[in-house]
Amino acid sequence: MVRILIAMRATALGNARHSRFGILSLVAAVVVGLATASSTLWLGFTAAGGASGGADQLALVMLTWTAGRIGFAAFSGGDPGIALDLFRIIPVPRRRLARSLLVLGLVDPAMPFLAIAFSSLVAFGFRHGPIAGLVGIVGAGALLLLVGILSTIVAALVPTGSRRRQDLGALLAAALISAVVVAGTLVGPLLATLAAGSTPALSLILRVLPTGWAGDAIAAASLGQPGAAALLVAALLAANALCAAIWPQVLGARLVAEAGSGRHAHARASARILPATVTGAVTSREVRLWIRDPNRAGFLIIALVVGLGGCLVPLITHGAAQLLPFAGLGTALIAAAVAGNSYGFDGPALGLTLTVAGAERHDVRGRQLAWFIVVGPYAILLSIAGLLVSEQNWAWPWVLAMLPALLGGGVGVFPLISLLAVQPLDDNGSPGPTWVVKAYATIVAVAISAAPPIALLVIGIVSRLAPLTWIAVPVGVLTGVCCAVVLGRIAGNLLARRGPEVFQILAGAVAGR
Amino acid sequence: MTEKTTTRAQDSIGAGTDEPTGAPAFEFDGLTKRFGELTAVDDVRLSIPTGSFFGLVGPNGAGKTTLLSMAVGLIRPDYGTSRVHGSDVWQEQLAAKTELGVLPEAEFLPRRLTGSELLTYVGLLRGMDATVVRERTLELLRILDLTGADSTVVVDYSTGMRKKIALAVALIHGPRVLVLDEPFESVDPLSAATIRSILNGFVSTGGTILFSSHVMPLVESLCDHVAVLSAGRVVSTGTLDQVRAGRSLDDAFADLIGADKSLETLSWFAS
Repeated sequence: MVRILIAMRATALGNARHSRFGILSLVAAVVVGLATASSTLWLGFTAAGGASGGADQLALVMLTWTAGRIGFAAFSGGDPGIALDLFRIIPVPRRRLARSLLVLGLVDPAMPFLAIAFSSLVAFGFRHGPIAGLVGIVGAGALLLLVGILSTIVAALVPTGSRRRQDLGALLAAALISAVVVAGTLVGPLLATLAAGSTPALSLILRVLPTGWAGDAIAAASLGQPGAAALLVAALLAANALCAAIWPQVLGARLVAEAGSGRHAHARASARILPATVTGAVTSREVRLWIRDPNRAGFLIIALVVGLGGCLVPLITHGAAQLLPFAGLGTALIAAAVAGNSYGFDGPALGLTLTVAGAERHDVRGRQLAWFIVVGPYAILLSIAGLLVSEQNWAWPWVLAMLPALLGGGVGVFPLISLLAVQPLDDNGSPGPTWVVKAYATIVAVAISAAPPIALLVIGIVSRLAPLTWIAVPVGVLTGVCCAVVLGRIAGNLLARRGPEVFQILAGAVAGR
Repeated sequence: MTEKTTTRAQDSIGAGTDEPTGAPAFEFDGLTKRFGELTAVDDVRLSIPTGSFFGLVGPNGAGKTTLLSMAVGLIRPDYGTSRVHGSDVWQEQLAAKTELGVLPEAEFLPRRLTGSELLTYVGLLRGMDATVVRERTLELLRILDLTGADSTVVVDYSTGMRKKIALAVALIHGPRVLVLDEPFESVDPLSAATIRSILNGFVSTGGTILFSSHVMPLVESLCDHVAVLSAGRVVSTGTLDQVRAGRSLDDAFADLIGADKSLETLSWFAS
């Protein structure tokens, strides 16, 4: 059974169509994953000398890895290569199926990265003697097992049934991902705090959570408390057993979940605000989709939360308010990155646009306008609020110059990137892990659009010419407008020229399912 | 031609009152498409007379959808082109696509718009006047019995409702040539009767319909012209009677594609 499922997944992955960009992204994702996992492993060798502080540090990174893996499982809805719903009609004994799916979850492509990262516990253990090292091996193995089982369970818990429940599930998963990403930015400063042992409450929380038990067991072993160490490892194994025991019930509930009647989602009729023009029609469609499509709305939530959260972290950890005025800028950057798969989100719906002659350029302009309507006011208000609350008066020209440049850059870059690197969604409605690479490429491209005003700001400060810093503001506005207009025109021309080829990729992904 | 069509498009949903002229409404000129080693469509030449109800039949995988996608400008052919009332679909897109009404596949529809939002969007996208779009949207929803589901987003429509709203999308701008890929698939008998009535009305007022299906009785009851596609090639075309040649279309079809009509069953049924 396990072999059949593994073969099925391997075949599905092998048959998936990969563009050149997709393959490059996959390579980049593997490299980034390996680098991150290796840096965690390195922490095992370099964590604070005292067993207690080091265990706290490792507990924090274990929690981050675990939350990230489970968050991804919730957001992506599980393995796209395995059609879980097929087992609704195939009478495989539930326990046998549950066992097989658990094993399948453990041979997931993410597991090698987690294994490298969790090996930091082993390295940390052996630094404190052979007994602590052995405890590290068992603890790391048990934690790895637990994460594998939990991600399988969470993926099966992603709501099925009615559309409304599915939408809610996608939005909750987006909120979880946002929390993980914001927490991820806290890791650096928190590691230093934990090493110093200056936050006992945080240490306690980290150790109470199951992700801290392995590190705690190593600390106990190194302090000559084998009983405590054994108890903690046993607790971790018991958690595994408990999860494995409830999994068949979760799976059973998933397989008999009611099919969606599909008649619950209602959209309120709204008065037309946008002009009844071709571009206005596309803009209306796009604004509605950013709000109603849980996939898009989920990504937007991530952008809005992470943009703000990333700038709040230094305030929380160090009381530093310097970054607060830039929350709006961060939001614009991330929102552009999530929109970088704009055409991929819609799939073959592009076909409808292509049946109308000359609609391509309007489609791009409409998407640009809608993105600005959805993101612009939030980013502007957040920037002004950040400036006023933080009282960082020096930041006014920086924000006023960079924000229009970045918003314009975002408006210009996202449709172009979306068309240059088309990424259709998979069976679970996810653009796949390689999407992250495109997201980072978009962030870099949008950030470059702010180069002219930044150059003026730097020159103004270095040469102590205050007026020059203020000249950066109109330059920023001009840069933003130029990016939006010129890059939008390039994207429109590209769609007009290569529309059928883009459509073929998007429609092919659906036909290939 | 564009000006004329635009004016007509704003006058009525129907195809207008042009009399059949005998000139082709839709021509395929050597359309060819390869996907790697597979030749999905191979040098297809067809002439679809104005005012005809033209059926394109073929077994699954014969290349019907690829052929129609190329013909309406969705997939770029490797060779060949198509013309709508003389306008090349690739060289004179505006004129050609204004004349065409294409039944979009369910996946083409923006999933999170309601029926009326979708029709409004498509109408405005085609540059129609907002008042005309509103009137036609209401009429289409009423005739297709979709008014009750007006606040439901398309993703929550049943398969039959999606087919009907897709037909409305194809009709809203008043095209002269309708291209319909499997328009009756998953549609209940009542809705099928409504769709038939709309399509017959379209043809009777001078419009041309090209539709694909593999349900032979349906093609026999609706179409006056037929083309049979097999393995990407047209193996027979002409009026319905010419293609049938005295047999039922089912029998003619089986003969033309060389299908083995022996009714086999599965070996383990007897055990």
